[in-house]
Amino acid sequence: MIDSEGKRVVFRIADIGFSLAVDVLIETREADGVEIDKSTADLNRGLLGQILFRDAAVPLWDVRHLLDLPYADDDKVLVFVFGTDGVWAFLIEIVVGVVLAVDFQRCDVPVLLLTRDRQPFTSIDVWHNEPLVCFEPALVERFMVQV
Amino acid sequence: MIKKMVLLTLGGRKFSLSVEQIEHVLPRQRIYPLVCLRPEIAGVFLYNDEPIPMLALPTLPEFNISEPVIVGAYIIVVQSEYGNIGLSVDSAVSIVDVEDGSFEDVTPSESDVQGCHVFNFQDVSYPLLNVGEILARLPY
Repeated sequence: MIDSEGKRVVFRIADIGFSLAVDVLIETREADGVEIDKSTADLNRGLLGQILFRDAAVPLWDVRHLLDLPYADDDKVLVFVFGTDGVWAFLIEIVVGVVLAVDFQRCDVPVLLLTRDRQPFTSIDVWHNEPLVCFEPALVERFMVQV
Repeated sequence: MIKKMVLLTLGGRKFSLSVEQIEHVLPRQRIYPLVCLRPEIAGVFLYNDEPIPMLALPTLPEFNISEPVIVGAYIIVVQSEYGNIGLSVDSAVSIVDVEDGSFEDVTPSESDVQGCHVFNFQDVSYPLLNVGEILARLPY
């Protein structure tokens, strides 16, 4: 068994770099050909619908909508993560790689970047002279309006 | 010790800034966008391996800068009670003695920079950039 502890996946959405702990990542896969059940979609909330994952339907969320990123039809990779109440999926542009956590420099978020209400990230990873948003599913879930 | 003022231009307009507030002057740096930034922050750049917010002065209404300059030739890293912040400057910086100029209060009607103090130097007026006041006025 490969020890994934301490590794992070680097990916991009809207030219912004993100890092995600492998521990909360379940799987990434090409989005082409994946059928989306749009009967449950609610685009005003950023819910694109549901997709099948290991014989179960899981919600597919539009992270661009949730995090107020510009819309583009460039997201070709599905990412499945462990959320607070179960698995959910989202689309990204590209997986850059899997990186050892020790290769990142973890930084606090500068005070001026903090918002009073919902903060979508609490750390920044610097990797190859690029600041990456630490993607934390539990924090992103705060932007999902439930009905 | 004689205090110094930095004279600079941003978006074609002249400003002044106390040297005491300046941590470093850097050549143009790459500005990285992040998510959910307030509009007054253009992104972050790296300084000593730390992400530093870049203030998008042209977005501040009181500066009335029509030219959409976000990243000029230099970045001034300014110290503030909110931590370091970057200011983009589009001309070479000159540093002068405070004693060679004079400060003046200007009413808002005389200047489009709110609550403005002006540093006059060689018959030219340089509105004073008070970064602490600017940051304190940002909506939180």
